Amino acid sequence: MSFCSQSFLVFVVVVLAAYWSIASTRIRTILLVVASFWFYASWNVRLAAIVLGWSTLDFALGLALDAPHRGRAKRGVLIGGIVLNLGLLGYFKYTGFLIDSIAGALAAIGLERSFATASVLAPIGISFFTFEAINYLVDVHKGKIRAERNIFSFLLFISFFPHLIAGPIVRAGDFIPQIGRYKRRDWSRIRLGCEIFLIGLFKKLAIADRMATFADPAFASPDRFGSKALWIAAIAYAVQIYCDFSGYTDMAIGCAHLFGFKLKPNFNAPYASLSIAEFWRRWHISLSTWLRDYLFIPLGGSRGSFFKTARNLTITMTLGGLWHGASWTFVVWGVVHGLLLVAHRGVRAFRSRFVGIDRAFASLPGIVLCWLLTILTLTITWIPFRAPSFSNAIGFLGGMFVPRAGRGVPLPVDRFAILLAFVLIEHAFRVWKPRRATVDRIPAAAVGFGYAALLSIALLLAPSETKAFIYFQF
Amino acid sequence: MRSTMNGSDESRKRFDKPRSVASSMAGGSSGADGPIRAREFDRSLFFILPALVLLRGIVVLCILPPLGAWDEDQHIAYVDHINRTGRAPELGRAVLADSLVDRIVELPHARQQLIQVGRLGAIDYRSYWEKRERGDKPSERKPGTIELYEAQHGSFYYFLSAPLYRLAGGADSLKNAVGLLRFVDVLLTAASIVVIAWGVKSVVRDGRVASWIAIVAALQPMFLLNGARVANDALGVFLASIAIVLCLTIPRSPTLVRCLLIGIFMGLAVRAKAIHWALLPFVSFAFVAAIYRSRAGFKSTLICGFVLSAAIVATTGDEVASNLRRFGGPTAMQEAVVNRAAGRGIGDQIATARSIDWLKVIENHWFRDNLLIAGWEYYQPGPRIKRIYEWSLLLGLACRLAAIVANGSAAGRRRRAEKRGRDSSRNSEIMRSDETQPIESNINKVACNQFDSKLDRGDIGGSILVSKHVPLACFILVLSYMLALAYHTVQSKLAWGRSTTNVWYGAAAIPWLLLLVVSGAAIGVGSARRFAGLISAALVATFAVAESTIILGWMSIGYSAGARGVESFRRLAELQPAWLGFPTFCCAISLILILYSVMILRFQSPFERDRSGDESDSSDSKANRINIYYKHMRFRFHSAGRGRERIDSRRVELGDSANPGAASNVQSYIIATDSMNRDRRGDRVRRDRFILAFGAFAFMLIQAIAGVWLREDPRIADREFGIKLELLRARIAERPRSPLVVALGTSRMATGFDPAATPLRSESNFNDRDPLFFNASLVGSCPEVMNLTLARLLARGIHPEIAVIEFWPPFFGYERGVRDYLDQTNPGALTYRQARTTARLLRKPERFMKLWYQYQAVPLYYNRYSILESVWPGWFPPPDRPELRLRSIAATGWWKPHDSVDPAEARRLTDQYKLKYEKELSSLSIKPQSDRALREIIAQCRKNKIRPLIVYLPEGREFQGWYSSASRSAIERYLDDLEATERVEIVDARDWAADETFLDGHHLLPPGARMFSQRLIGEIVTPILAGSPIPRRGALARRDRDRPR
Repeated sequence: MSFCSQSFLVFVVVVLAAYWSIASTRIRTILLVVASFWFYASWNVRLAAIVLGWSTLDFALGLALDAPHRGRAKRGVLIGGIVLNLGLLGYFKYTGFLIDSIAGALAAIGLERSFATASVLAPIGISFFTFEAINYLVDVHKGKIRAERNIFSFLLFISFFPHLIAGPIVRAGDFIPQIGRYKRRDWSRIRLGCEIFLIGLFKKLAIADRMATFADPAFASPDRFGSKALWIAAIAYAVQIYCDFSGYTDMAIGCAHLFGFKLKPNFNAPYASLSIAEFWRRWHISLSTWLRDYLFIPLGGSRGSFFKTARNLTITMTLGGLWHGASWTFVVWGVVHGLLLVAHRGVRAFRSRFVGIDRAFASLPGIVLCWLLTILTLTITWIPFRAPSFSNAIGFLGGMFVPRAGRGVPLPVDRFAILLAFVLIEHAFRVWKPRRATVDRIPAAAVGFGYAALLSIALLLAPSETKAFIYFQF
Repeated sequence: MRSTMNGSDESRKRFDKPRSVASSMAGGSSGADGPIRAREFDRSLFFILPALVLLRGIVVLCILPPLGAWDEDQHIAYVDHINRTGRAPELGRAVLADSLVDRIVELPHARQQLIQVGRLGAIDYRSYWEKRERGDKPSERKPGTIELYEAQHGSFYYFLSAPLYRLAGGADSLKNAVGLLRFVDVLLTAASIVVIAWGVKSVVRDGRVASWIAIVAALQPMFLLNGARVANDALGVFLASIAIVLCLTIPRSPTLVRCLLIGIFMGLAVRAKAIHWALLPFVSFAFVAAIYRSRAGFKSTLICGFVLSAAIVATTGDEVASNLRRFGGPTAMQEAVVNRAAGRGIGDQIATARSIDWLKVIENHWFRDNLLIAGWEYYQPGPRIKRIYEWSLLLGLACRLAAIVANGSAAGRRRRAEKRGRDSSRNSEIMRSDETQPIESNINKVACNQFDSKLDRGDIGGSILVSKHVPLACFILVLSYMLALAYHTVQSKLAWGRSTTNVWYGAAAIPWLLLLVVSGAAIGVGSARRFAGLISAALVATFAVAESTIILGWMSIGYSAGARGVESFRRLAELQPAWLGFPTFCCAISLILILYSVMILRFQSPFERDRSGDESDSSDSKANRINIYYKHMRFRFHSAGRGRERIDSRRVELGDSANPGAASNVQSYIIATDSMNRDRRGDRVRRDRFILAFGAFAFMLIQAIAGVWLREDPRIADREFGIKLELLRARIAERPRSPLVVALGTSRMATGFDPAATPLRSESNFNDRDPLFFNASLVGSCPEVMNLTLARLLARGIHPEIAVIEFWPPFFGYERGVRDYLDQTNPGALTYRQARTTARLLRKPERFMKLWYQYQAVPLYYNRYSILESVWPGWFPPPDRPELRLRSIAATGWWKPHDSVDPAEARRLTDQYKLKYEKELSSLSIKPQSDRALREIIAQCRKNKIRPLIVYLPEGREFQGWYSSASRSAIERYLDDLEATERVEIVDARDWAADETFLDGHHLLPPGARMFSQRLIGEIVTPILAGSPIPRRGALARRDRDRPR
């Protein structure tokens, strides 16, 4: 049941009607838990059962952590919990990858062995809810939050259907208190939810899936395409992945608003970043903050020497890359980003020593240069992320940088420019946020009509078959 | 009671707004205090509502052909008579002038009207358009006369209309004259709405409820239809409405001028139409009630009564006297005159009255049929719509009745409470109770007390109307018109043997009936008012659905004899004066939509909680009532002043009403700002809710417009059919009189039948009797789709003489699922009827209908590919783009795919089709699905007087060899049965083409197509058109088999 499907629309309307017609917070919570598992079971009933069992286990671990034990026992429970969660994640997501890698390595040294690999079907969104469970256990252990005593509240925290499949990764400290709070039906909030949802839908249907028309053929067989087409495909993919993932997140946030929940924003105009470090503050914020709080800082963060910080950064980003998918291309992508962050630290340290250089970076040409460099770097680094294999990625990059003739752009370039303009406008609105009073001055009918037009255009530009969200595979 | 309020009366007087006309009216239970007006009447409605009536009227004028409305020819004849003679016609003697009858006969008429004018040569709409399409003269004038029975009416309206009639060109320019007089009547109807809205605003306390009533009254379709025709009704209703409003808004004591005006307007209304004698009991009651309320002295009562009576007598006296003299009765009502002449007295009338089922008559006249009956064709909405209308009215009236009962008991309770002196202890009681309320201060409790007192007196949430006499007066008004109609029912049944009473006679009472309904539903506060909004919304939705389906749907289709879409409007425009053509219609529709949007924008949702009832869902909740009270007081601050002064005013207000020591400045300020913040938030919530509602509405509107666009222009959503339709229209325009022969079939027919290969004569040398051939075959078209294609052609006014239908056996061998149709036709381009017809032929009709509904609900999504390709191509990669074959369709509809094919390619294609068909044809049995569809095509042809001709197209010898003998005999048996049961000509042309003329064994190449087409036209179609017999299928087939190939 994709967010862009009719069945999801019916599902949300029914659940919403039932939710607001119930006065009791407890029953509302139960309703949402049932609805969320129903939503998940629409993909696979067995996996839904696994998620239910897994979450119940985490609930029990949380209670154990909150119990008055001695420090060592608690620490044991915590480590056990983390190992369990990561173990399950590893089993479901990385078994095949690990076996293939071992077989590949053995083959490289001349020891070809065939391993009997059982095909393991990973639960959708496993990476997201595993991280949520880990942050819950760690926070309970640290005493930042109390363990949740109501199993339904905990299940809702893990399985709340808007964020269940592809995030954003919610923190227990943010979400669980919202569950117990009594919510009144608030039209302003419902309006806001609809608005955010519509923007997300537009990004997904009208931009991301359309950009895929430019990107997919080139990534499928880069050798056939000319340099210009490959450059456009690379930019198209950068736009596609942003609009696809941020579109999903917007829909999730909008949907949560309809039920009176607030999820933290996950994107903040990432392509307006002037550096890679800024990009990671604006891109997939829930993941980058999670990695920062639960991996980078425990590793030592930036408190040590430059090299220790560089090591921590590289490890964090490499694991972040691996989190995205069980493939070496993701690992390389993570490593590259880690190294880029290290390089950025170095440049920043260098800049701070020379006032003239710092001023040059702060001037308008300097800012434009930084922005162009960042965009270029990001566009290039998305190529191994998207490419199905290293050879494909190398072929793609070769085609981009060594001018050659070949197939042209699949569709007229002006269509690409129009879609790109939408993203630029969206970024502009996010960077220069219009004032509330200015927005309120727009006639209500014009706003309403704008919603209708946005939805109509999204439906009109929707491709023949809606593609699955990219982050569903993670 | 008021003595307990610690001087609050004084403060109330100080801060109350100036009392409105409504609140200053006599009587009512409001006492000294003005009502809490939840929201003022939206004054923009004074512009929007008449504009809406005017524009809707113009739409009606564009659709309703001249003389299409009830008795319009008679009313025009009355005006024409005055125009010619300068005198009013005399009932029983006057007839329609010959010059006018000539013009009347030239126009088409409804079947009902033909009872009168048919014998003079007038014809109905269908015959008219058929003759017009054939180029014949529509009608011939026959000798005879028609009595001018509408001479029964007073001449007031007709004398006023005669100059306009003359100005518009009179009988010589009848369309123009009718158009102008109708337009003036629509203007009068719009003016009536202004008067009614003003009256409603004056008698309804709550501005929002008043707005609802005005909107409902203005959008009532019957009220509009009655006014949008040449008749004395519009003027009568306008004058009667003025008289009614003057009566309902009589101030404390009736003044001489008002009595004079009431008398004059009532008299003029009666002169315009005698039905308005029904105003007499209402005017009398209003006068007596005003005297009773004001406790006027005997002398002033006598003088006012005299002035009122004198004004009525002065305006109607001469006409009444003349009628008494000539007809023996106060009116010249035709039926009464006939009955009197026949010697039928009061006894006969009573006997007739007893034979009538009055409950049914009243139900039909007042609760069902007065929703909408349109024109002489009596177009009416469906029973479901009528039922919703009826139940809405009954529900509102039941609430009104309940309100009367409740008000009565409340008044009794109040009196008893006053007697016991309970109010004196109220303050102390409240001080002791309500410990759990969120606002605990004494000041709140006292405010609560104050509010309770107001509530008890009915100031808040009590009577919606300014006076208890208003609903009674409205009841009397409706009852009077009811009795008037009942009188007409009895007289007409006695005179003609059946009742000829029409529901629009009581149009003047409709708005006041609606006032009773909506105000009845609006008793109480909070959610009860929202119930009134619900009733209003139900009524408005019913009106909108009824009006759009009847006027834009049935009327436009009926008057254009079944033409649809733009074609129907083209036909209708031919009947109208030039200024009421399609552009006027489009402009009016656009402006109506804009006005509706503006109205929604201004008025927002009728479900919206008003300010006073905003938080009064549970009106018993004391906390809520306190909030309401504070909000009410905040209104007073706004009127009292700004800033500091405002806060001071509040302190004074609270200080006066409560214990002065307890009401500190700080408390007052906190409460006031808290209240204002809540209001600001309320505004935002209202805005957001409106945004959502308007967004949903706009989305649906966009989809609806897209749906209509796609249906009207099939080139977008159904490209092949659209292109062929366009070509066919161009061909018909070139040769409008030629009999049309249309070929329907699959790609085999599309490539095999070349209409240009006619053996008759060349295209540049044809005459009108030469048939026009067109190949309307669509690729992959199964019999169900052929049936649909024929229906779509007929719906667009294309009427072939002969339909050549392909028989393609493989389609008869299997049953198709819904998805198979999506390759052949686009559900989004079908009308509901076409979709139903197609669905009926399928195995699972509900699945096709579900698909159709989906396509209709979001046409932009389901047709995005076609729309983008048509409007802004380049959004889809090339493989997805429409096939290039559409470009190779000739002007005759023939698809010429290849000039020739090399043998190797032909072999490859034949082998490819062998894989597809050989197995299928070796075990073919006729399935019911295609059989049903084929028979449906034949039935459709018969119904529309089209001659069906079934053709078994040429097949190569190898292809014929794929049939097993069992399959062949099954096909033969089926065709024999079809021939026998349906009596249809079947042409077996399997052997008409040589093997080398096939592309792939069953699709013909151009030489084969030429040969086949020449033979089909020369040997089969031409003899059929000439009325000669054609060779039987068996004989033809045998002959061809024997012929060397």
